[in-house]
Amino acid sequence: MLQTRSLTRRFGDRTVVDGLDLTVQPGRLTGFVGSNGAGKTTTMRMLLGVLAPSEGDVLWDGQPVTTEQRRRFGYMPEERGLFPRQPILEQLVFLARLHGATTPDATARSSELLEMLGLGERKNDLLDELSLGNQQRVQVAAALVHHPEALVLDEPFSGLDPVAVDQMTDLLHREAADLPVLFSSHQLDLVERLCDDIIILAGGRVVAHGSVDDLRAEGVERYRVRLDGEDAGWIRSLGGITVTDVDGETALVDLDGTSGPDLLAAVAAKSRVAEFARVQQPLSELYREVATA
Amino acid sequence: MNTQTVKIVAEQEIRTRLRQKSFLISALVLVLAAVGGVVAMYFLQDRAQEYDVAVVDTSAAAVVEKASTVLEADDAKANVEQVSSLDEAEGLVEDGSVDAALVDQGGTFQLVADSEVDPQLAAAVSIAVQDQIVAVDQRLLDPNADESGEREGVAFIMVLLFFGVAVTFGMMIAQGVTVEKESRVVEILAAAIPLRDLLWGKVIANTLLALGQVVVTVVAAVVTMWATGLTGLLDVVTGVAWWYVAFFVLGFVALAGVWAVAGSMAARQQDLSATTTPVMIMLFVPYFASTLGNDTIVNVLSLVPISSAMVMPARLAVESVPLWQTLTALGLNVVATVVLVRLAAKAYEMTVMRTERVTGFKELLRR
Repeated sequence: MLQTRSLTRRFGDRTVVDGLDLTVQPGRLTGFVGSNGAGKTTTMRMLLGVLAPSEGDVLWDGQPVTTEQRRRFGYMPEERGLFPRQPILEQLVFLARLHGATTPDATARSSELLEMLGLGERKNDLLDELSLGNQQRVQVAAALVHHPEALVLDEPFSGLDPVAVDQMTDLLHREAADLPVLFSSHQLDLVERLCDDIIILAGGRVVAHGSVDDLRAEGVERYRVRLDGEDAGWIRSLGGITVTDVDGETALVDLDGTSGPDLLAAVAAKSRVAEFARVQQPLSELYREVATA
Repeated sequence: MNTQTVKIVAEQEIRTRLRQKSFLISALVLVLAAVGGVVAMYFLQDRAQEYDVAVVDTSAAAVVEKASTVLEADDAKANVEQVSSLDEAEGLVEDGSVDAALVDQGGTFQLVADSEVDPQLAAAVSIAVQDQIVAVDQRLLDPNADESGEREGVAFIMVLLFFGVAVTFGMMIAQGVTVEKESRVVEILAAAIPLRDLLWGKVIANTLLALGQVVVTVVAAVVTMWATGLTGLLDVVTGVAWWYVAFFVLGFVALAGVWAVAGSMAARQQDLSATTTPVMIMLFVPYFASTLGNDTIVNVLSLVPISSAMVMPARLAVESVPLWQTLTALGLNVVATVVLVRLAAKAYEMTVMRTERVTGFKELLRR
């Protein structure tokens, strides 16, 4: 389990990360969301020890993490980072060996990962001969090449097409099924679809932290009501609700004191109801501040 | 320091370099330049087609005249330079205004030269005296005065080679570090191994490569000397080769650390010209001072660390240097290397992760 305790980082008198308490559970894909400048990258760099915290600790299984433990993390930095003019297989083997693998093991593992990512044919190509999407796949392979015990991926999906995103999530599910995995993104909808847990950061502080289901449940209950050939405007006059939108015979209704069945009964008492459905509010709407930034 | 990771880093560094076309080309150019230099020396060397021979006696003058007709077969000739005494003749030989003196010793002739009797002249004189005289024996006035011009030539080339290799390989180290910074791969490397190991791997790999370059270049030059018969040069080179290697390795390791820091201070390749200036100065000043300066300056520079790595072997090639001076220079270099590599490791750790801007020297010194 990867955690932080009051993790803080200041640059000069600017506090970029402000007393973060995070938990990344093993076996759960944790999305790390926030607008640009929210402090995601700074936090991730502190997790890896690439940047020293001003205050606070990074914990591994409840204890302050040691350098040795950190070396077994897998990391994909925000701005990427591999040698542009080296063959991709060779770089992966180099990284695996730096993590202590023997040359045959490192070669086998690197080839296997490239194969899984559909780059088996191109393993002797130079990195900068690949498309940006493919370079990103190699970058993920670099994070996985040493069988890490935790994964920290900064914007792993940015710039990928949906097929590549699926392929990469498949790979994560297969290779990191039991590991704590933290990945950052500014696309809340993508994170919502892929992740088990979500941490939302704004201005260096945690705005929300929990499972996707729990966070959704925190939102107001919303229903869509469609009447049968009748304008839905009159629903506004009901108590215990807020109507957020009316479009002809359809209304969007947020509960504010009443319950779903009561609302249905109240509407049905006056009009013929063609449709009555619970609306799953996307998290991006709940955290508009994050989603729009 | 983990020797295993240092070894892996060094291996990778060497493998990458050996694959670079620019590296191979510059290595080849240096070797060709050395070979070309020796060949040029061979063609430029003083092969006098005309010999001036000082004589006191008419018998000797006759021999020289006869020798001149012998030499005509090789498009050469010998001129008689009549002098009044043996002392005068020897004086002319010593100051180089004649090539040799021929002395009649009543029955034998003696061919007197300064440091080396020209074989062509000696052969011609021998033939000339054969019908009158039994033999010509030879006497050298200053047999130990080797070819000082050749020695200075060797010294100059050694300085030039050190300078050239230190700058080209140093620049490659700096560029390599900046590439790692620019491409952010250093973050991944830093997450995997201590930055100190990364620096050491680079320093060791590039020192080995630079040494390899020097050895290959010197061997190519020596083989060319041997092939062209420039044996005088050969003795000079083999005499100082070990000192040269020892000084080179120490000097280069110290400089490699400084070059790496220069690379780590730059945020982009364009910044390198600014951040490498101090190390360039460290090389340029002794280079120019040793080639242009007087003996005192050269003697001082041959003891100052780093610069001594370039200057001392050159001095050793030219003159006999007291052993204590050589050892002092070597010892000071060891100290400087240890100190500089330590400082470099610290500075490297501090600057290499800072990707957003150039690190200033003041900033580096303040810490």
